[in-house]
Amino acid sequence: MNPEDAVGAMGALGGLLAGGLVVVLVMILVMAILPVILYWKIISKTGNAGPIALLMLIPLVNLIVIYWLAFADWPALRQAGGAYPSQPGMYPPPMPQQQYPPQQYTPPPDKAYQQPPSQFQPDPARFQPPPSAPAAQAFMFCGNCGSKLPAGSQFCTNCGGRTS
Amino acid sequence: MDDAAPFMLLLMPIIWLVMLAVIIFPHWKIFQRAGYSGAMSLLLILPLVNIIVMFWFAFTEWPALRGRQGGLR
Repeated sequence: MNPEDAVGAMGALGGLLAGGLVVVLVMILVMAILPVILYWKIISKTGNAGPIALLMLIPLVNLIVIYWLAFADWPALRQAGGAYPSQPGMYPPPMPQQQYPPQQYTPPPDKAYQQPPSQFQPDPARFQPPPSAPAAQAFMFCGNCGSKLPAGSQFCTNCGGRTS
Repeated sequence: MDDAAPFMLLLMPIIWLVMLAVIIFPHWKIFQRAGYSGAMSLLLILPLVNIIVMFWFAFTEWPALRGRQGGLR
């Protein structure tokens, strides 16, 4: 083997090793840091101290943290009074929800709404009543079923009987 | 060493199942207390889905905290 080849192989191996090292480092970072960030957020949302999530970095302690979170008091829930309103021993106790009956407002008779007197007075000189409807109607009604028929029909198109 | 191999093969899934139960159980409780279904913790079994679920859980508004007065929403 040439010395140059050996050096090249060493360089390639070194590069591979470095690449692998970077990958492993990134994986360790992601697998270690990500739970800390997420649990920091979750723990602070429960109303507890977010930095407790830093304990997630320690191998067996992280399990204890998760179990603690599952069973410990969540101060945020107390403020919400939402999910566990009937939890015994809650302090402060949940606010009782006042239920008001629906009320229908009826004003006294002297204050009831009255139609204001109409201010509109039609001027008889300018106001023409509409022409009355034509005397001869273009339709009639069936005597049996009452359906509308053209004037002068003898039989109904709806029921078939005589119209009179 | 050769005698121990089948024994280990049998033991590995059992250890895995126990670990799973140990992880799922508190998360079931946590999801329930947040106002979600506890069954959502079963998604934590799936390798990449668990990261997504935890991200989602960390950054959404929890139903149990919806009626909270004042402060952060």
